[in-house]
Amino acid sequence: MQEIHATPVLDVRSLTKAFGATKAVDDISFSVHAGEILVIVGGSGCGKTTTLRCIAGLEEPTGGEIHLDGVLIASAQHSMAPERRGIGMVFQSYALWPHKTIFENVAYGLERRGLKTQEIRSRVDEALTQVGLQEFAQRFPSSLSGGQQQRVALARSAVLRPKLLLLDEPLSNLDAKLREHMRDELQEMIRLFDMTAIHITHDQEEAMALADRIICMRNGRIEQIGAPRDVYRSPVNRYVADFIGSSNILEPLGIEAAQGGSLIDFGSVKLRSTQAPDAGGAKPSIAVRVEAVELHASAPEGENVFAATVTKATYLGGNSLYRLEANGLRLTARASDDYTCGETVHLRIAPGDVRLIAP
Amino acid sequence: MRNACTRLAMTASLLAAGATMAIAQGAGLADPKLQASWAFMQKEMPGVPASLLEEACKEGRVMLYHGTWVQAQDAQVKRFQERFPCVKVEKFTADTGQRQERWLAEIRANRHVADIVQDTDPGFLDAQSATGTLLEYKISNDAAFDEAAKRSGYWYASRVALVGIAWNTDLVSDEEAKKLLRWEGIVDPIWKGRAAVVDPAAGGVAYLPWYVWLKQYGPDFLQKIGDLKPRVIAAIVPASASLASGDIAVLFNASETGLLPLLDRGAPIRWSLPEPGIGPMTGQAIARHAPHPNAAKLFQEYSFTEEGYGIWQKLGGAPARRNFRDQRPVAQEKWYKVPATFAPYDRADASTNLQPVMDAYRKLVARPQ
Amino acid sequence: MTQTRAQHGSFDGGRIGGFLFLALLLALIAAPILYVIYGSLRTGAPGAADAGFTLENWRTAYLSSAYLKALWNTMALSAIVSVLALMLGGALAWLVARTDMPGRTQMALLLLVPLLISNLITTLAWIALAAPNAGFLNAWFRSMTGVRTLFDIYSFQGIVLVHVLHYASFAYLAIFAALRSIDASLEEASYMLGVGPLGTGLRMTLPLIAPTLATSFLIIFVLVAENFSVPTLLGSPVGFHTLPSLIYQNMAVTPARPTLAAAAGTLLLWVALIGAAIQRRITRNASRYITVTGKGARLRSAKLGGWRIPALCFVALYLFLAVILPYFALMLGSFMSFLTANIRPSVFTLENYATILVGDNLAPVFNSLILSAGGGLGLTILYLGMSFVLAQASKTFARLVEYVTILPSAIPALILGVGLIWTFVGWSVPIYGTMAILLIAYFLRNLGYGLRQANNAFSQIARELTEAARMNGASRLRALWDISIPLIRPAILSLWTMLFIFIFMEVSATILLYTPDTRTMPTVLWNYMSSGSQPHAFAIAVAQASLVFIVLYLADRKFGLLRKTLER
Ligand SMILES: Nc1ncnc2c1ncn2[C@@H]1O[C@H](COP(=O)(O)OP(=O)(O)OP(=O)(O)O)[C@@H](O)[C@H]1O
Ligand SMILES: [Mg+2]
Repeated sequence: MQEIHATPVLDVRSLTKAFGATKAVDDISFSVHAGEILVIVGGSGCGKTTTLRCIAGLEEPTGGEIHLDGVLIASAQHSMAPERRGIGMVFQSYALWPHKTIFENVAYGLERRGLKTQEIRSRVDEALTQVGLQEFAQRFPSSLSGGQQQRVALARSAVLRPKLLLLDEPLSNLDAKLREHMRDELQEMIRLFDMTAIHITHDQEEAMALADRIICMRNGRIEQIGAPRDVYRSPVNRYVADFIGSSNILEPLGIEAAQGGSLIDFGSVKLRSTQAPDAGGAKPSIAVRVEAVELHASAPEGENVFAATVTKATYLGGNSLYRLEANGLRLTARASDDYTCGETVHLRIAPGDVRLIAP
Repeated sequence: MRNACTRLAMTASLLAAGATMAIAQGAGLADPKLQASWAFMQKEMPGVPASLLEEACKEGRVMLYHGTWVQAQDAQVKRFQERFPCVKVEKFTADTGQRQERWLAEIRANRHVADIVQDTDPGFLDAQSATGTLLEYKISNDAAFDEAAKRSGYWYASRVALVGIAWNTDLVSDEEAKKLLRWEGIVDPIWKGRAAVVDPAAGGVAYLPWYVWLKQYGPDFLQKIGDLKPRVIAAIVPASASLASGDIAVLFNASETGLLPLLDRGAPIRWSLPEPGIGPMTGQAIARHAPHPNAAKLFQEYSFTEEGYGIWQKLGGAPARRNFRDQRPVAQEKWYKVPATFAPYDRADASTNLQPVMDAYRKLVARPQ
Repeated sequence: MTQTRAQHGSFDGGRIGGFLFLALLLALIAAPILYVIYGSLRTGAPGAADAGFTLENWRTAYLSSAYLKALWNTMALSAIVSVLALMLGGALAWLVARTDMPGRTQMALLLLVPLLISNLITTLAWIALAAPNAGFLNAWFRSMTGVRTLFDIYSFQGIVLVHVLHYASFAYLAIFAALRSIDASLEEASYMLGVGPLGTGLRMTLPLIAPTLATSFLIIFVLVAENFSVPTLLGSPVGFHTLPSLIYQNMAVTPARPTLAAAAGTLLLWVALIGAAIQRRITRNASRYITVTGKGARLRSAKLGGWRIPALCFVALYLFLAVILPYFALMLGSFMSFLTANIRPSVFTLENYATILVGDNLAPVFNSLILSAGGGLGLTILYLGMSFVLAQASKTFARLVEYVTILPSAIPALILGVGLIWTFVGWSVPIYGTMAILLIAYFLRNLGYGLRQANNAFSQIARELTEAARMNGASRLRALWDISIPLIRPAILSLWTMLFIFIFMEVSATILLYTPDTRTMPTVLWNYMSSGSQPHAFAIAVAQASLVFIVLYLADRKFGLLRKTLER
């Protein structure tokens, strides 16, 4: 039992994929364990889709290896055909076949596996019921709404009970409200079918909500990999910090060692961090998440407290976004308190939220 | 007992077979089905042995590479098949340049398909007989052809493709037409804007008159033709059709090949064949490596018998066989007269003059606008 | 943590098979072209004993003013015809495929009729109609108004007219298929922004069908550049010569000059390459034009409103000029003893039909049907297969192949036929002298068009659609069969239809390569024509066009060539 659990469903080792001179994926390694949802985030063109396509078998890697259930499925020398891998994939464009009915779309993979008509029917019905589309079975994709099409795409992959489900920005075509709804449904369904999944998204909220672990990619490389909370709290560098959550990225004048961490000099303001001065490498930047900046009407107790002026207040409903200035130090904060432009407020930042990161 | 009987029967049949063969050699032929064919041969192909017929029948087919005179050829083939049902005639029809290219390419590649070849350029056939691509076979009717109408043992002329001046009788009065009885008459100013010529680049019979005119009358003659601003037509067939339809009144270098079918069908046309006559022979020969040599010989023989010749010639053109009664209805017309003399034609000379003639034509007749 | 290596997949037999298949076809394409180029550098035909190397043919073809002038004429004519034919054909296709014009279902098939008579016959029909003095039209107009000539077909405009009327129909079919598979949501977006039907057509639809337009442009350009019958018959009276008319003359003069013709033929290869480069520029980003995606698409018809009747009149006018007039001349001519505007009872006859409707001519009908229906289907599959295999090859290689494939269409058919004889006559494999060599000729003649149409068809489908099939357990071939083929059905049917028509009409190469057993209808027609009997040729043309139309009509009924896609 122990042994089996220890074997990851997917093991990607030093995967590299070059298109001519450009390396779309550059020596990345990670693994995915059974039942896990791994989310890959990163800027446009950073190689997310390419990674996924290599795993799916739709691209052949130029270097490295991919193992599925302990079996080598792809390397520079050979690449198992996608149809033999037993991996499911939901495409960004859904890729529903316009000439097949919803039923036929979902049934196709089962037919390819040579299942009996009767069994196909019951499994397709079951899958369609789960996504709430059983009465649309005889319709064509063109007569469905975007959200419905998305669910069909999901059902089509899920009905095959793949070892691994790959989702390439499946929600990006939906409007904000539907996206949130579908995100929850998606998560529920992945759990329901007991699947292992890799999910790509641009949306950090979606990433946070779905992920057991997050991979943040840049220029074909992995910048950080970890649990959402860890990545969110402790981005390793500016890029990750920028990408996961909204952070204030500040350039310090100097950093010195202090008791229990370091003291960071911003001229008039000095902030204490729980991290050692060398935590962010040679010339670190400082990251402070917007919601880590507390606003108070009067000076509160504790460390890292200083006064600032509100230069701009944007009401977002529920909370507001504030642009603040404290003797030349510009900060952004998000808080539910009500302040108006020009008001003086007192800020407090917990030393644990002052992160030293690589530039 | 049974064995003996069989042997006896076999011997008897062998004897019978031997007897039939003897009869065949004596009277000519074994197979009664071939009797009619043989009778015809004895009458029209004197001296041709029965074995040729037998061998031809064994070969069973003959392949004809012929030119675009479909109706004449079809009529002749049809009659040949009636005379010799045991030999199936197959045809490949194409315009001269293409037919020659295909035949020569096959010979170069040692792939022999054609049994009989025809050509509108006797010079071509002369050259081929010299290079050894034609089979030497002297037909039984060899003597019926003058030296100019054959290369004895190689090719024989099926016709003379005569070139003349043609006009539309609806558009040209009899009085005017008198001018068209001589080549010199075409440069008369009354034809200005009414006449057409076939581009010498159309080759063959379209080219020859230009060659003769330039040789005979000099560049001045071409200049005068050019002054009449004749319409230039790309090929003989559409030129003849234009004449018949009345779109043009006169065609200076018309070919009987194009005119005859139209006249037969009642088109209001007439033509003269001025002196010196211009008309290359159309020859027919047997390919050296004919896959069906005997059938080919038989067909070659038939083509130049009284009957075969007449059928072809009736639709194909003026006869080149000596003292042969022209079968064409046009020959009965009062206005129709075959020239007595012909312009000398030398293939080598015509070929070397191709470029000068074309140049003169382009400069003087088809003047760039 | 045992590591097992998957046994499958390291050797992709299918792919290797695919590339062998491709290599074979490429050899087939290259051989006759190389032979033509080789021949053009010789004093005599390849294999001739006394032939040697020479640059004389190239000097004449590339440097003499006559050939350069002809080259210029060829390019100008092709460019003008292609642009006009595309505009006209595009307008027709749009009206029939994407608007609510009345009668569009009936028009859909009728608009193909101009393609059912060869260029040569159309030209002869137009000579019968509009010869300056005795053309039916001019004679009629003269009797009505006294004006001598309404329209003189012997002119540059005449050549353009005949070509444009013919190729507009060709462009129509290609564009029709493309328009039927466009994702209407793209157009809808435009309507939502308040852009009218015409604006949407120009700004949204036009870019979407750009690859089809580019391909059609190239093919029309090349086919017009290659054609000799129209400029030869109509241009001679006004001294207008194109390269193919000079090439034709080189084959017609005695002695024929096939090697000079071959050299002039190579000039046309350059013309084709330039055309292919232009087409390539336009289609370079094929994925920009994906029109079948996995997201639902609805087709939408533009409401013409008050323009419905004028639109119908426009289509009717085209049909009048391209179908009614020439077919009227053809029909009339086929019942006449000889063509004349001086119509009187005595010129009418049934003899033409009686002559051609003989048992002897049944075999050619059968051959033509087999070659064009069966061969057309075979070639359709072949081109789709090539395109499918090429899609897996490297981009550079695929591009190279794309350039190479236009070449056989650019060599005048006459020269291509000669090249094929030079190539195959020496082979012991039974190709020469069988139907196989005709099929090879048709394969080559239509390669540039067929392969590009197949490419365009495939490039219309979003790649995710087939990938989704593979993720559902389908092999590459299976995905092709289950997903791609059904989705590009309109394009496949249009390709098959076009090949059916093209093969049925082909004569220039066939005339050199046929045998008594493989005679086709057009060869019979051609030989009657050459033997001086236009009315017989007209009768065959009428029979041929009727036959092809009936076949198309039945196919339309049964397989929904056009009708079903219209009702989609
Ligand atoms: N088939 C291809 N040929 C050449 N380059 C490619 C190909 N596919 C991807 N690339 C390049 O590889 C890089 C990574 O592409 P990829 O699609 O993986 O990015 P992505 O992270 O999915 O981006 P996005 O968020 O925009 O979807 C890009 O620079 C892209 O241009
Ligand atoms: Mg992507």
